[in-house]
Amino acid sequence: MAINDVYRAVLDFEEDSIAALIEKELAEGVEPGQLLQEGLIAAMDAVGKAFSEGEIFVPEMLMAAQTMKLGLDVLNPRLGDKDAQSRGVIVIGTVKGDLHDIGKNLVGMMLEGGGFEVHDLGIDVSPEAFVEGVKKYQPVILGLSALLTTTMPVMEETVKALKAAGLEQVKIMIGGAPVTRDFAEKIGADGFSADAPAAVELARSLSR
Amino acid sequence: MLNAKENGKLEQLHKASMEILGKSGIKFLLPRAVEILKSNGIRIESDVAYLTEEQLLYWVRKAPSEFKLYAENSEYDIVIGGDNVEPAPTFGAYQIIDYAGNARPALMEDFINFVKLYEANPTFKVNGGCCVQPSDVPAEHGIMLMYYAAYTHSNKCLITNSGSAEDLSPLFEMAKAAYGDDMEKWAAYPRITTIVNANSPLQFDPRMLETLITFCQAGQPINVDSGAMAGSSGPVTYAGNIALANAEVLAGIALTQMIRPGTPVMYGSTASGIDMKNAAVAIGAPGAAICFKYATLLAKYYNLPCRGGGALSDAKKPDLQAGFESMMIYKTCADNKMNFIIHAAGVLDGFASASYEKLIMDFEIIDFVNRVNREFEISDKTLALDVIEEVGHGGNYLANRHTPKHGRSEQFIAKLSVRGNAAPDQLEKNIQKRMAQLYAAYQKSVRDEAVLEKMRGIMLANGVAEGHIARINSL
Repeated sequence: MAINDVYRAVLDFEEDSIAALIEKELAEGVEPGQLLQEGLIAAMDAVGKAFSEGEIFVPEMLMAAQTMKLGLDVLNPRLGDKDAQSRGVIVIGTVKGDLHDIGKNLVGMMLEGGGFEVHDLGIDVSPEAFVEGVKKYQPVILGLSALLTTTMPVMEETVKALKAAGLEQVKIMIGGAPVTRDFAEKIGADGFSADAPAAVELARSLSR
Repeated sequence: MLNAKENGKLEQLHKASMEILGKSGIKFLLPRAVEILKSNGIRIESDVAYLTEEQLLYWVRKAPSEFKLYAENSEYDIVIGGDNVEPAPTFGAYQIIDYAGNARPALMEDFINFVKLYEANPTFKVNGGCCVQPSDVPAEHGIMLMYYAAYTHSNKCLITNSGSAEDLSPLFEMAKAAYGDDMEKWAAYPRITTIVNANSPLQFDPRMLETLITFCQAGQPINVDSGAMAGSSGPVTYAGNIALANAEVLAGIALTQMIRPGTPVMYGSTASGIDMKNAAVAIGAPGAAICFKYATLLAKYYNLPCRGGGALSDAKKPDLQAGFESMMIYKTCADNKMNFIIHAAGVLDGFASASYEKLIMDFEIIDFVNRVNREFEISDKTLALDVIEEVGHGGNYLANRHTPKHGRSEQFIAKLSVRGNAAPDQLEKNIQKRMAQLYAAYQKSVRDEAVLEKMRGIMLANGVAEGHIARINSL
């Protein structure tokens, strides 16, 4: 099956050939939505599973996600409204005072790999800037990242700022090395994830 | 490389050992051994041999500086000597201790399980011996049954038990069933090895001397070993303990060369110390590490291959103590190029016990140490200057292609160590998972049925119960 080539290309990190492979499939009349679901997203699901089982490692998962992203760039303009809408929008960022972004970027790439449309507000993002971002992109989920115990309180400030702005409908997921499930509950976040593949699962359940 | 201080120390230790050999002498508690020494011009008084430095070095220099040991599968043939370091199974533990610290007698099933785990670990090219001492077979048949169990379950180089001439006779008959009667060929392609321990201080007992003579006559390598314990069977001071052990080992090696010049032999050491508080043996102590280090230095000083060490511990269960002691002793030995490391995995409780979980932990220790000692390569690819430029300030290397490309080969991929997001019991889970993987990877050797039939015949003729043989075949 030709879609299988796209699926394999993601698993084999074929960054250089994924775009051409997708063009070829599209030219042969394969539906863009089918290439997305059965090729790219299915491959990233397999990657997430292999990671959870310890078979592949973080840098390899990232390579797969990058490959997926390159494929997605080709596919995006061809996706119909239905396919585009089915991909939930997520806004992410590292909270104010914190310049760490490796984990946040990893989660962002995996979320894209999981089929979400991700808008990354970057690092050192103030609660006000998060509010602005949510208003602008209208996400289903907002993801907050912090690596420092000293910046974790800013997560709580951000949750409060969203409520104050009347944006309670946005689900909030948080993560980062010192962040715990208990902390998430305490500050009124909707979910916590300990690693990137679990963040994809969490985002799926929150966006349902 | 030796530093000047160590060089000076080795001279001092050598001179002291020569003085011990000349003044106190070594007692050989077997008339046949005494005869051999006497016929080679060694001064004997009663059963004590007094070797001069000249005599000793004349014989010791006949021993090869390295030799090859041959496995059933030639992929596992090993060179013992030089800078080569080969881990080998533990030896002689009579109990199994579980993860919680409960002890029970070791069984033949444990012996075979250990053989399977060593066999499935590609880091090991040596198997068998007395990796645990099975309590469910008669002691007098243990030598034959353990060899049969190892031969039927391993393709690697095999250690055997030591024993009296009478004990060893059926063992050698069994080995001849596998490798033929041509003793010249045997000597040219050594197949089995064992341990000959001095009975410190300053003596060799009859059983060990019979092992020494039997193996040397067959051209099979042995390691002549001293287990002098500083404070009980040797002086409490390391200089004295090491000089004593050195004298014992060299005297034994001289005898091997009188029996068959050129016979491969290892300079062995299990010299250690005792715990001053309770006089218990202390094999996981810094003192043991010092003794092993000097065993390697002295062996290399005499241009001999060396055996010693292990992932040794006195811990009563596979716990924190087991971890830190084992790593210290194994790494000291590997860093100093101990050529043949019996007890490389599984032992604790001062040699008395073995543990499945510790066996798996020690496998990881060995792989850690091997990785450290392999260091790193410098090339354009590994310096990665283009990648450093590409990632730039404040970027990250996780998402750069260079990382997955070299990650698995450059970074050590731990099988046990717990990092990142994990539950507190993850280490135990990792140990069990690794053990299950090794059992699953284990493949039983395919053996010539005619050879096995001969071996079984020899065992039956020597009084071994059929049930014990059948049990081994079923495992």
